[in-house]
Amino acid sequence: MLRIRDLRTSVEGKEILKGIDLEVKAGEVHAVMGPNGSGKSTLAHVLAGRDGYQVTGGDVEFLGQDLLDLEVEERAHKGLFLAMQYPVELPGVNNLTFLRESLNAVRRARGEEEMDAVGFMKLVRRKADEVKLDHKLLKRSVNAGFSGGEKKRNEILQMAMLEPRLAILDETDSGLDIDALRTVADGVNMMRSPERALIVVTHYQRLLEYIEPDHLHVLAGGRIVHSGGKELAFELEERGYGWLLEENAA
Amino acid sequence: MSVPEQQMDELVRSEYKQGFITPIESDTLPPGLDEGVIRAISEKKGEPEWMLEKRLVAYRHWLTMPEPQWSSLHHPPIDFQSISYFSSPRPKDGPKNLDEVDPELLETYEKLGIPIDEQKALAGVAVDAVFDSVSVATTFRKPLAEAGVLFCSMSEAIREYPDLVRQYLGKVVPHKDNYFAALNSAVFSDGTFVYIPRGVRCPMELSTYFRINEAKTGQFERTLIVAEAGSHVSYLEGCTAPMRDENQLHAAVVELVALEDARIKYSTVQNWYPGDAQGRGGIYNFVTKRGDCRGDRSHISWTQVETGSAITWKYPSCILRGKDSVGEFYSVAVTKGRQQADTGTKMIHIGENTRSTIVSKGISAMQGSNAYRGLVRMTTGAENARNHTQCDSLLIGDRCSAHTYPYIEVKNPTATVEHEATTSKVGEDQLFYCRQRGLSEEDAVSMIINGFCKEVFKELPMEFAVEAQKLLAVSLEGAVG
Amino acid sequence: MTLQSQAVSDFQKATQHYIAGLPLDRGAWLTDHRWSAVTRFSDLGFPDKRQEAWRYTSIEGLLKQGFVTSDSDMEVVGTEFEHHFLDGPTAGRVVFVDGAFQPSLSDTHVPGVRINNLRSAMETSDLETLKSVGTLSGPGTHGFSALNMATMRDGALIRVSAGLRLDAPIDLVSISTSSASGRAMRPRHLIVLEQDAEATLVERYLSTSDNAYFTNLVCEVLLEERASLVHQRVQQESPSAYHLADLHIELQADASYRGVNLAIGGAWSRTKIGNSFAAPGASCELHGLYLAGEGQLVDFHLDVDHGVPGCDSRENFRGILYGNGRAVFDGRILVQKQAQKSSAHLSNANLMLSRRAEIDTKPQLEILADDVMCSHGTTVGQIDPQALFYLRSRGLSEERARRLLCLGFASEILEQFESGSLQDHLAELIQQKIGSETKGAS
Repeated sequence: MLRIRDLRTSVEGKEILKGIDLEVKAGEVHAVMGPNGSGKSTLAHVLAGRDGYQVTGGDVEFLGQDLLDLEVEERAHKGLFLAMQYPVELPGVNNLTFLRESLNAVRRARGEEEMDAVGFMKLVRRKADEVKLDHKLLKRSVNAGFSGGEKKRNEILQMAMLEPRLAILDETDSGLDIDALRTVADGVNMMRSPERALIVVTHYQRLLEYIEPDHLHVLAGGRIVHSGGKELAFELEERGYGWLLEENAA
Repeated sequence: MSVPEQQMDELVRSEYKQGFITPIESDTLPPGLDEGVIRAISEKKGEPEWMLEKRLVAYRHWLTMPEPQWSSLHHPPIDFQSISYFSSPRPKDGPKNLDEVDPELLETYEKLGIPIDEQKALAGVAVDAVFDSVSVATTFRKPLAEAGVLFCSMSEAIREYPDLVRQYLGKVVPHKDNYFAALNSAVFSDGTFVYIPRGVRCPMELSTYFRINEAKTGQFERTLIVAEAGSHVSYLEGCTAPMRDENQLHAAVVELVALEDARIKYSTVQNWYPGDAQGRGGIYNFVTKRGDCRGDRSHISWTQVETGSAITWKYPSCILRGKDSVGEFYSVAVTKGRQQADTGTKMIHIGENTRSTIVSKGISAMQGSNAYRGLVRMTTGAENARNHTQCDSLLIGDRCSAHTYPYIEVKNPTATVEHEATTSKVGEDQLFYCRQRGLSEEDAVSMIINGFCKEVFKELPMEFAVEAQKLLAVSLEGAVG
Repeated sequence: MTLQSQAVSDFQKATQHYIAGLPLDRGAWLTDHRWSAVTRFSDLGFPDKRQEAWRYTSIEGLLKQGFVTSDSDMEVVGTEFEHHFLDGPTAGRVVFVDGAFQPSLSDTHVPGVRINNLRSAMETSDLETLKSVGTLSGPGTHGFSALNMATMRDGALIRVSAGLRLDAPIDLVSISTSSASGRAMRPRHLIVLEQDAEATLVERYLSTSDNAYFTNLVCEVLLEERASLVHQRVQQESPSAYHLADLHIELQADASYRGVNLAIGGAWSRTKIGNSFAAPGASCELHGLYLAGEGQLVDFHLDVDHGVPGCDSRENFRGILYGNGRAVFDGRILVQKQAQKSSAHLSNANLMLSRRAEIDTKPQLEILADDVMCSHGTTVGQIDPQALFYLRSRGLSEERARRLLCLGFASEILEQFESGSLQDHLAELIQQKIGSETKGAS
């Protein structure tokens, strides 16, 4: 589904990603871990097409297409979803309106019919229940004044509504208490399917107790320095990142 | 991703959809201004002697006034002798009913999306259509008359209801008020008159559509709304003009009087031709609007969406005289290209427990310049008076500007004034977020901007809120990139 | 002839006479500056209410007083004024009495700090020190500051060497006695912090009499790269005095300035603080508290000019008005086209304790760049009745409760005067001032 080859990326002239290779197949869940500043968030953002990240080398193929050639919204239309570490507040923009506009934009791009108001409301209520998001928040402005947990749940709701092919969760666990973490993880697990792939970017191993990855990659200094199965997470928990970095340097 | 500049400018230029000219024969006074012209206007309108007198007094005073020099607005000097002060589509006599209205004119308004054919009209909205200097049609007069509401052109009101007009005209905005009010008092050609009798809730929205068509003419309309005790009225005005290379002057005066427990809601969707991206042409919109909350518990609310005009200079104000009276000002002003807007309000608190709310949203794009200028004055008698002001500016692009100049004068210790202002840009992270969810950049911008303006749009009558949102979207199309 | 034009021609004559009377050996450089300021004054005249910056502040009363430009050569010895000095350790002290520098009261020997006074620098033609005088103020931005340049006589010249970190404040105090009565004093200070220097300056204007006199002050502050100044200012002039202060601040890259201003004295006072950022990365904080009571007018004008990218400014001013006191606040933030990534925030809060008091406040934002975060907020109100009730329900008298709430309102600003004893002293002063007003429900 996603094939990253020797991806190099600079931010303000400084090289952050120094050659990433990664292949993600449909149905798989990949975890990307690494210390602060290793380039995890950069990877997530460059895949989503954020401005300010200059790709200086390599290529990325998504569903058989050159991903880097597409605009931000075109990537979304193709089924790429980024759940953000810091979801943005949109004052005055109603959450429901936003969800509906997004859903219909994606549906139009897929050649599907736009969803009518009744169908949409039914769907959104059901999905909100699934991610345990208070219905009151649906009527408020997008993320404005939401607590940290509410924002993350709102991200998962958007993911559930848009049904992406590839979802990237960027530090979705940061700033969450254990209950909120469990709810968010449940939401993510519900999204697992043979047609869909997930990339879970996280600093802590904690989230991986709830979302079991098929593959785990350790990112350090802009490179994937180690890849393995989920058992690697426990090793990281015990030994930290140090040994991997040393091993890599050697 | 970003549209090349030239293309962007073209986009903006092409987006003034009301820029057509109606090929209609008109009766236009030659350019120039002197007492003879004023007498000619008065005569053409068949005015009584007292009205001519009022005009001449105003004219003579105007001659003694210096033209204002504004620090924040820039325009070449206006040659008042090159403007024609009266233009009327032929025939000279106003139509008696809709069947007599020139089909060309009806078509013009159809094209603007304002059907004045009652069959096609928006339900519950009565329209007065003013074309250049005269009112060409007023709809739904019958049902309004049954409710006792007077809704007609100002010329007609001067002829038919001289006592009412004499009692109120020039009382809220006297001719000495300012340069453009003096000019208007001398040369105004038409406008709308509304009178709501005691206790009557006006059964429908009233609206006036102003259209400047002729070249080299100015439009000087005069609007007077009187709401007797306990009455309610909601009034909306819309304005458009053709695209022309020259600047045209629009200097209107609007006066509102609200007596005890009366409510006036006055909404404006102003879309005069803004000029092209290089700043050629466009309307100079110099308007004096003031409401007098004369009675206790009276309520005047101004809502404006200003997207057009090369220069906008207006400060719809409220004089809060009656106890517990309420003044409101909700404004969205958009400037792009070389447009300049200097707008805001004055809230003069005189009576006890008077309250005012100001919500101003300025959006500047490209080389647009937007200024909020407002005065909140709490006089010694304004016991327990309250004001809350929120001014927000949104900037799009690095060549635009936004200014905020609030004046707050308080002479009563029990009065409370709160003023807040912010300036920010459409956030890159907000745009990215929306686009990541599949919205196009334009949709994302329009969604963010509509969110920014929401507090103001919700004050507009339903039908027009939708129109205003569309207008805003069209107006900012191509301004982001 | 109007009062204004009469005054302009009178002042012009008096000024020309004053300059002509100065000994010739004081350097042509200075005399040129003085004459160009006279020309400037003739061009500008006195400010009047038609000028936007003066619309709420009349100078008529000031002109009517007919203050005379004359100098005192009095030299004070002894301990008479010692109780006005700052408590605790200081890094130098500069004392002026009735406008004249007092060598025996001052302490100018601080390693790494050059402390001089304007008069002796002029007398010795110390061009090295003098060359920076007027670099920020120019010949004058209004008639009074032009007159200051034309007739300046004395003031503090302080220069802190590169890299020096002073851990005690510099005490700069100007005291007016009964001999100042009827005179116009024209102090001019210049404060320079070289690269990486850090200092605290406490600048105060006090009076030992109730007489009328006029302080027409210009103060220039230059901070070089990464320098940092805490500037604590107190205007506590006689209740009949007129006080006009023009403060010019210029910040080089990464410099930081934090000022706090207390205006409590004077019949009529106006302080204009202009800050300009000369290079990116600098920050400016301005705090202030003004009290205007019976017979007083207090006016503050802030002008923060973001002319370069990436600078921060914060202003927080609070006012308490009582009796028939009047206050004017004008806070302007200008962000120029090239000043992207600017952050500028201003807040002004006012407490009205009396029916006869008046406040005119005018915050302004002029924003010409788009990538900025700017805001201002202004409030005018009275003591919160609920808070008053709460305190009284806990047993406080109404008077005590009102006083406490006023102090609470002021405390945010007072805290900026870092020294505990100075803070206590100022709090006591404020309590005394507003004491009578808070007795009865106004």
